[in-house]
Amino acid sequence: MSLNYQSVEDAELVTLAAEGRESAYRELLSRYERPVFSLIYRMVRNRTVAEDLAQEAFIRTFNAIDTYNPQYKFSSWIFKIANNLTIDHLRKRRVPTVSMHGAPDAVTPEAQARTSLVVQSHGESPEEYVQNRELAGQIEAAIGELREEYRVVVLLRHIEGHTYDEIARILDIPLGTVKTYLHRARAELKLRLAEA
Amino acid sequence: MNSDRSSYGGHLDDDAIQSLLDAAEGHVGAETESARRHLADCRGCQARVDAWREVFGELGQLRRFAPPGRFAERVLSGIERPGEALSSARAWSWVRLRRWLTGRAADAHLSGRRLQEFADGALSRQHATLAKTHVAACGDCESRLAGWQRLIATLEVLPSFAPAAGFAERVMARWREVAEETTGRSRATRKWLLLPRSPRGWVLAGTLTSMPVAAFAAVAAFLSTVPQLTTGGLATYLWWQARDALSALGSSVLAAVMQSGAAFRAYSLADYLIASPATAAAAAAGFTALMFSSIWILHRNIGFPRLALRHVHN
Ligand SMILES: [Zn+2]
Ligand SMILES: [Zn+2]
Repeated sequence: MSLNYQSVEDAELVTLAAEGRESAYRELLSRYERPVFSLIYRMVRNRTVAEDLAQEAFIRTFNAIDTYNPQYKFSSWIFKIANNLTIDHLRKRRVPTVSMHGAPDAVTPEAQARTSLVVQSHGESPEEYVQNRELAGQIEAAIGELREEYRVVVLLRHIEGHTYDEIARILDIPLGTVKTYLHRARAELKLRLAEA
Repeated sequence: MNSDRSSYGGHLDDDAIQSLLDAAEGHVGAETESARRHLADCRGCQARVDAWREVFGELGQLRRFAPPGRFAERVLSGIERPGEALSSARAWSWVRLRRWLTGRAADAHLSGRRLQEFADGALSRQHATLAKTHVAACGDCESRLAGWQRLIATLEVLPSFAPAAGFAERVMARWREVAEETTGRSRATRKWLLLPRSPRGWVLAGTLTSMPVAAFAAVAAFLSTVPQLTTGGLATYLWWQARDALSALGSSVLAAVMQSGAAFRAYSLADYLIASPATAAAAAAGFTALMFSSIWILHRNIGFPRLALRHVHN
């Protein structure tokens, strides 16, 4: 019964988990807690919210474990669940200032004003301090200013290393749209980094 | 994006044509749909697609075998058929093809999109071969490519973030809570339903239920063969028997009530109801239903062996 779970493939882990083995769930958690949390964190840019959403993503994944389709990668599946939760959260929270999405050029000054407001805000909590430093780098700031559709494809492609096909499946969008989003996202990033 | 895709009045540019040919190999993008629609009506673009298709065919060879000496010339002579008049679109394409194959590709710069996808390793082999060849010969595209490669490299070394310590424990604890709530609910539901929980349970319940039903049917069949025994007569007999039993118990109050006019009217009504076939059918159905439920309660409480479908263990 003593299995070395670390050497077991994702799909096999899912089978073991569906049989009710807690160690299999734990191994899936240890494999995906960082990637899932990182993706959500870079999308919502708040540690507390990101943790809540990541926890919910794992619970939903675990509860649905016997509906997993082994034809697809487990990572695609869990990222799909995590992304859906994140999008729901962002939609609920959406405020008028974010509707500048349509005009990418107008983003920078406003976004800068917003960022400086956050940094100067009355007494940072230790958590806020950490997170302002974590996401304060030039490139992180540039990623944060991308509109959400662009940001998520960049994160899935260049940080998580998913293929274009996997991204299309995770986001439920056509392959051509993935390519277009990536193209525009990288072009915007390049522009912002050149300005900085 | 469409600006670098169809650069001259709706006609397909080289990128679009190459995407289309890629799509034929299974890399279907949304933008190829509009290209296909245009292609259906435009002879000029059709001719250029044909020319590119030939290039792709030759490039397929290039990938698999080391190109023999004078490869380019051979390709060109294979396409150029003596005496064949080239359409203008085809001739234009021919110039591009000759330039590319002979390494003079000064005017075939790569679009930003193509360079990005090349830097990202996302081009098909044919496109990658074309791009590589161009970049090797073009300093301009080479430095643009380097810019995209730098951006991608910067993104790819970004760290992943860990959630706060104890995250996994919190998830497992919360998940257990959720699981308990869920199984608690389903257990409660099952208690109400009293349904067998395994195929074997269903077989047992079915068999046991059918036995009393069969017995009841047999009695009914027997009664129908005896002409003197009508339903009404039988009921009257049972009624007398009951009245005798009650009298024997010395229940004078009950007996007095029964012998009164009210009791007689109730008896008449009951006699009429019992004699009607609808009542007989309803009684049979009610009896069967009672049998079913009693058997199920029996099944639940005695706990016949259950064939577990999935045993969950930790
Ligand atoms: Zn055309
Ligand atoms: Zn060039």
